[in-house]
Amino acid sequence: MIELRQVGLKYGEREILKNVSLTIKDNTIKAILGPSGVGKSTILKLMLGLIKPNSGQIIVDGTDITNMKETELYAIRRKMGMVFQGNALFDSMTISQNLGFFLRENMKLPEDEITRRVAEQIQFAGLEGYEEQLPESLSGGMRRRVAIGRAMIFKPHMILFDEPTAGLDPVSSKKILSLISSLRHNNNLGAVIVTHIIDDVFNVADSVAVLYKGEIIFDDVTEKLHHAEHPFIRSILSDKILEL
Amino acid sequence: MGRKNEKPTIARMKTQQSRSGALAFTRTLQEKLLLEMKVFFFTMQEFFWFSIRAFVAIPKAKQYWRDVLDQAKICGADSLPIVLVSAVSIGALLAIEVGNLLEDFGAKTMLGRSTALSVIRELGPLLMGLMLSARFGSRNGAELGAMQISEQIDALRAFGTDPIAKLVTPRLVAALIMFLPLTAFSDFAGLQSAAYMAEHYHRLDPGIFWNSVYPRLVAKDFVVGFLKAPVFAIIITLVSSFNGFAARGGTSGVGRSTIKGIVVSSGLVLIANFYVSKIVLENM
Repeated sequence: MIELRQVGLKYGEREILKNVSLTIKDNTIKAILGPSGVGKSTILKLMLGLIKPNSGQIIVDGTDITNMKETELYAIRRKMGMVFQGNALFDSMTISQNLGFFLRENMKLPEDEITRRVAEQIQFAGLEGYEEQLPESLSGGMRRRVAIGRAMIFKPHMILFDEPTAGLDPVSSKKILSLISSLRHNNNLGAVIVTHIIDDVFNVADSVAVLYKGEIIFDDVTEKLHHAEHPFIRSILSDKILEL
Repeated sequence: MGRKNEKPTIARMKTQQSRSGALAFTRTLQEKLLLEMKVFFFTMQEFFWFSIRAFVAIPKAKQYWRDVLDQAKICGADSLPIVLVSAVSIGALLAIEVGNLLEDFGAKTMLGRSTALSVIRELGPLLMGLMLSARFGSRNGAELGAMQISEQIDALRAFGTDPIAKLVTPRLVAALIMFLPLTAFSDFAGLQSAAYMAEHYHRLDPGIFWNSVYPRLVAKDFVVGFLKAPVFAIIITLVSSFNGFAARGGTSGVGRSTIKGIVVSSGLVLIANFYVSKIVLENM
């Protein structure tokens, strides 16, 4: 479980997050919805300890990671997988090297086990035949699937998705969303999805938090979003995509 | 009366306005300077911790031996041609110019001695440092900057890998190992080209040239020259890598950070070159 308690963050004079509190339970999919540049991706980076908040606490599985040192955070981070908005694949490595990289780096598994897990992810992501290709030769949707495979290969408890369908065509978006849904059903994984596309929320999320001007203005099960009365939520429900 | 009174009031107001304008300008300038100083000291502090972490991670270089080998090839074998070209050209030029000068004093036989000292103590390591600052430093800055911009460095951190141990320390270890032989090659090539020009341009017998080189070279000359190699390796690797890690703002940000890395490391190489020579020559 991941908890954000009264988290505040400033970049210089600009206040990004104001007393944000969120709880993400295990085996559930939580969406964080909001317009671009509002600090949604920042929340994911805070959960991983990649950036430190100015105030508040971040608790991961009961451990306060707010002021943890970088070296102490590595063990915590391995409980979570992250799919970056731009995928962040290592462009000089092949797809199978990308998938196996962190297993070789951090888990000291036997090579047989690494090969087995890589093959498993290749199959899960539907990338058979592309194992020895470089990321640049794949389409956007395929790269996103490699990034998801890389995040899953650790067998983490939770996967954090930063705009998983942004920039993808409708077919690829649908594939990615069904892949995310299958994570929970097949692997008992929890997920946090940061998005500005409201359809993604209704398609996969159990609960949703809406971030607006640095504050959480809604945090409940997805179905209740239809009944929210905040003017911003009413406007996004009619527009579907937030382009602010 | 009213008009007579009005003029000085407007003038006074204008004076006050210009004074307050000047004051505001001075205040803004002060604030800007303060901010710049703060940023400078904050960057220095960050650079200090970055360097410490790179050195502390040296024992982990065993884990990344493949990366060390890759980087050794990049900064060693791949950089050899440019180091040799610069050493050959400067050695030849030095022989021509110094030979002409010595001829005026009838001391052309001292050509070997003077070029050897210049090449081994100063120009060999310095040129190697500047060439590697441009070649190895720019590659580090651009590569790490691109990785930073595309969130690959964040991905390393997110999955529990220390990016400094993985990306910077292998570069540092490789540079520390490879800069020494590169200095030796640079010295050798510089001296050979000087000897060639002494023989073919100044018509000086090679025996005379080399006789004024070998017997007179002392340990101090080599210490000055070869001590610079690890110093330059540390400066170039850490400055260029730090700037790569600090890249922000898309592809133009990568360009800015790469240029900054080259300019700063080249400047520091020149300064370090002076101080290493001064300290060793004064104390040996």
